[in-house]
Amino acid sequence: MFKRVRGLFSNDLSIDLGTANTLIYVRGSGIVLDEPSVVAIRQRGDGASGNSSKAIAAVGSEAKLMLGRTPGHITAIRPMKDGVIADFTITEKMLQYFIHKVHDNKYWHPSPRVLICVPCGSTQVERRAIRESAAGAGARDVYLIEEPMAAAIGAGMPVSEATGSMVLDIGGGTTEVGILSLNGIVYSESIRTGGDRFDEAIIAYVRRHYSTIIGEATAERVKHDIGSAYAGKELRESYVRGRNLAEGIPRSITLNSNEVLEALQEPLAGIVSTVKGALEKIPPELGSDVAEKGIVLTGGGALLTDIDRLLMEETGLPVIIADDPLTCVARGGGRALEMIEEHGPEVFALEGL
Amino acid sequence: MNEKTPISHLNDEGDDTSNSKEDSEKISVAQEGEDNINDSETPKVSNQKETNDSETPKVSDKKETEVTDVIDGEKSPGSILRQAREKGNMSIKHISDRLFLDKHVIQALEDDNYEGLPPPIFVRGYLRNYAKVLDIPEENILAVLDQNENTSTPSITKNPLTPNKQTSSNDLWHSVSTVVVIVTLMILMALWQFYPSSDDISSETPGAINSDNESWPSDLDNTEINAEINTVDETAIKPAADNASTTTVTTTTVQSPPAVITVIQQTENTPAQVSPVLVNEEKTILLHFKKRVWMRVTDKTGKQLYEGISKADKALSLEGLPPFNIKVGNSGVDIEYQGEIKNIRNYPKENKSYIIGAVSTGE
Repeated sequence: MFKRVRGLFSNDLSIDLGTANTLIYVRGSGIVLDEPSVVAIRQRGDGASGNSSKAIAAVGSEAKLMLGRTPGHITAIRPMKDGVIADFTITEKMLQYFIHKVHDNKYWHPSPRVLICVPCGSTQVERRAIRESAAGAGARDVYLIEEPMAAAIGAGMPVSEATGSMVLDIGGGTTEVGILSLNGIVYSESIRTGGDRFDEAIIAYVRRHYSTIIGEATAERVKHDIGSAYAGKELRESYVRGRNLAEGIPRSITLNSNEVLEALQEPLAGIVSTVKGALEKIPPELGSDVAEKGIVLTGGGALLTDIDRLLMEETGLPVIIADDPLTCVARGGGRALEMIEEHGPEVFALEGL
Repeated sequence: MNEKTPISHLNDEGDDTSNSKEDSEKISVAQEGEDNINDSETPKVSNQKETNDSETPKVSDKKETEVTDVIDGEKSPGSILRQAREKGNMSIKHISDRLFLDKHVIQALEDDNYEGLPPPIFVRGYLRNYAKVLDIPEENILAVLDQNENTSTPSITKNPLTPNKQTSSNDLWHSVSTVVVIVTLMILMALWQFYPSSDDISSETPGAINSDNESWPSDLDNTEINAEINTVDETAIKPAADNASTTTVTTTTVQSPPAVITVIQQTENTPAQVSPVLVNEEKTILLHFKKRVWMRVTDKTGKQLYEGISKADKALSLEGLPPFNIKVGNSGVDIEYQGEIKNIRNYPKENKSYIIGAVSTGE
């Protein structure tokens, strides 16, 4: 009852609780928060006496800088893994922090209606964990929407029409492929390959070929700088520093884009085969719609150079990258919230009613 | 590649700056300024004709179109792409193979005819891919597209949504109403706190109990009342002979309305008995305090017999004309009246005060 009153004073939020980044879309204000899903925890008190307590040291981009660079009493962790919650309490704290950051209201505790995007492959348990995290963070109502749906709406695809639209959302932890029609998901598939896997692949490659260990942050930077999914015309190079395994001393090495491309082959093959598998399984009518219009790429993975070219060559279908692919899911969630407001929750096959 | 070609082009013109992009733009703007509106087309055309280099004009041309579009808005994305494609000596077939699109789609894109094409998001994507194939910066094409037509995202439902503004805590109306509500609540709280303080608390509870009794006449209550009526009948018949004790009967039965009625009926049967009650005769009321209690006692004439706080386990004797009007802070007081001891709650209540010995006057 009191929550309802408080709800008058808080905005509806759409949260893209991603493995890599968390985005919050507020109705009427757009994307108001885009921060890495990283939390740094400080261990208070001395561990020896046993009365140590944990406190949040930093959340978001501040905490991301600490990743891999923390002293003993601070741990920087990513509470989301493979698109689902790995650490329940920390995720709740993080959500709480983000929701409070969005509501800079001193007098009321915010109690917004929240729509959270979940991977379509997540289990009941994982969904429940997300729902309860959000409820614990102060949400009044929690709706869950499947990521391909939100991504397609955010990209501006005609999901309500009786025509097939195929969306491929390459996120930090998961890659989702969905074929949608009439505001519903006809087929969806989720694999736990995403930006993180790309980083890991680069780390593994460098370790194998240069006997050098590089950190995740370095691998991510390499991916952004010279990563590509399809052999391009020009060869780009990047310097990275890592610890040489044989000597045990940090050394500088040079990586070129072809090497990174080679490193990324395995995760990319996984994505391509998922897309092909989806195309095989959908009904022929929808398949023809998709072939006519093409596949839309969203998510941070769409920013990998030439990934659209790779998919075009592999599938023989037109592939286009959505505008502002990083925020597609959050924006789509926001639009879905507006629709719920307007038409009631039965517009989508939403959960959590 | 793109970055380098304009330099040579500019060098031909005798300009040896390294910042090719900005400068070429400046130059074209300057040209626009000189040639004014009627000549806005000429540099473009001349560029197309005089240069044999296949790469150079593409970029400079684009610069031109960007500027002219800002001024005239006449150059469309399709024509930019078509020109660039022709410069590159590429056929529509080649482009459609690269983009995995049908030839008619490419044709429609170049004609800026988006009617038969999928929704805007796809058109944007196609144009972007097309530009990528031709090595044209895609931002320019999309900027032109945005300028030419307001491509809006398709509505998810049949009726386009009107995003109604959500209430937020920043609204003036909200803050004002919040303040009003809070102030009102505070005033009410203050009133509740400081107004005849203890009085209200006590008056609440017995009232609630009384109403409970009335609204839930359980079997138990009924039997009690019946029993009372019976006793009243008995006692009422007795006083038919004994005038003086009539008042006792009435006072004991005041508690329940049905009983009162019977008593009245009984007393009607003996009209002679009514008169002694009406005699203005001072009666004694004895108060036994069980708790520390505030009380005010007035008699029929409104004369205040007592006001103050009495300690527990004390007794107080007052004399006055019935009915007595007693206001109490709590119900921790027993009243001895006409030889009967009862808790104050058992007497009828009117205007937050209990009335003792009322029926006789009510007659």
